[in-house]
Amino acid sequence: MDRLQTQHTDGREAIVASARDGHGSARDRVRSVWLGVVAAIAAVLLFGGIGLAAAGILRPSDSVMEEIVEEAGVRNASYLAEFIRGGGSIRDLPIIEIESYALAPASAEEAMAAAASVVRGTVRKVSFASNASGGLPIATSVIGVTDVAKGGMPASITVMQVGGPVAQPEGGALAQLDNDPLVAAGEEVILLLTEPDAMGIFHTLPGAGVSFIRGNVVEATEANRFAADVDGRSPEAVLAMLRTADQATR
Amino acid sequence: MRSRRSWLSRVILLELVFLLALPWLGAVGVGAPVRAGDTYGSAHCRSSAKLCRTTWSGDNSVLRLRIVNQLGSSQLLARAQTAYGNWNSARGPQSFSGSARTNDSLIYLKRDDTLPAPNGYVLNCTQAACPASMPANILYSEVFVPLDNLDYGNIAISVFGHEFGHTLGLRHHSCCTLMTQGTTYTSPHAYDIGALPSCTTSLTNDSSLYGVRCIYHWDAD
Repeated sequence: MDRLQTQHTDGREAIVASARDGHGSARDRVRSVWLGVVAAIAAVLLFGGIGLAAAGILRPSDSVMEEIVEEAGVRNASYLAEFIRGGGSIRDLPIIEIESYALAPASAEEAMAAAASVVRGTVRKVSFASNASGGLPIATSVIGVTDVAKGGMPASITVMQVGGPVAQPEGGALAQLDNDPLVAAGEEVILLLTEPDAMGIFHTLPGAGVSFIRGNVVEATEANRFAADVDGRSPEAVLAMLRTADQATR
Repeated sequence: MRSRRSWLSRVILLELVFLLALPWLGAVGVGAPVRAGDTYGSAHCRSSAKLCRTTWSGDNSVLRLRIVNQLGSSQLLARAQTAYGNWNSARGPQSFSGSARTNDSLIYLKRDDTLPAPNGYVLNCTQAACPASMPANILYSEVFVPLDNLDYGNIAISVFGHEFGHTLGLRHHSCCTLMTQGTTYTSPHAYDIGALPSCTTSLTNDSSLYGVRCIYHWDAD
């Protein structure tokens, strides 16, 4: 114990002696060590932050994010305008399917109960417009009605769908909801429609609203849960099946 | 004393070099963990397990998501808050908030009244495109719902919960989960969260669905 106390005292005396010998330089050294530590922390914060950003761990700032979102909207709007000007066909574009919430009806009976009207017709014209919400474009189609399976319909109706051409890094794509494929001008279709809105515009029933007729054969869409009752049949047979299903629900 | 001081300064110097180099090493993929910004070839984040959003720090790290309200309806916002509160109560890496947090990932809530209710959709976006054709590194998301969802009671919450699942990178499930189309669930199901340890089993018949734990390699709970 005595020896330890002696050593401790000796050590302190040595430090004090050393400090007394070089009073100014010791203080400078302490100061420079602290300056070094502060500089090191600053460097880590600065360069580390840049590094993290480069690694993708940090996202762009809020203001930059706002610009990115705005630029995406501008790009989509200008691509859509260019697409319309060029008279392009949506069938030439790759498809981006946007998953949506709405459930497709499980059966033809369920679909007919949900549909306000069912028609066979030809798509005379489709026009696209940017969506004021900033969402997917709006597709408005004029359908020439050739047959009706439910509801009293005029010779021509207007149908609105959500989706349309959007900009991509290389060209564009057709963005459409996974349960509501867009129709294109010249195509023949069977449409299951909801009640028209206040403007008299119809909407397609999610999941079962659109079936295409190609070579007098009906093709249900992937989302259609009663596709087996529709696929490969003639339009007349499908409309008859839907009328029967409608009777069954009354 | 002098030798101890010089040893200490060397340690500090080495530590500095290491700290400065670490992020850059990560950026070039040298010994780095799976981390935000990584890509997995052309694989979709939903089909190849792990990583959907760019601001995620790697395995077992929390994914902070900030809800940016642009709905213009306090009633719709209240439904959204319930929906993300339910996601926060579930296990997994997801942590939604209406307030800004360091390096959070943004989800914009918007209204699309052209959509017949009840419905909703999500655009998952990269810096280059919105929507992105193959979201593997989502920079931000936009959730769109119609105001008329409010006419359908708790379905308005279900729609938000479902769409938030898409923002996490989950895709549709055929039956009985929050990610099932037309769901009446308002909280995530065990299938939506996934197995523990992550990615060990899909829990479901669909072998490509492993839940949010797998997408972000979350084994922390």
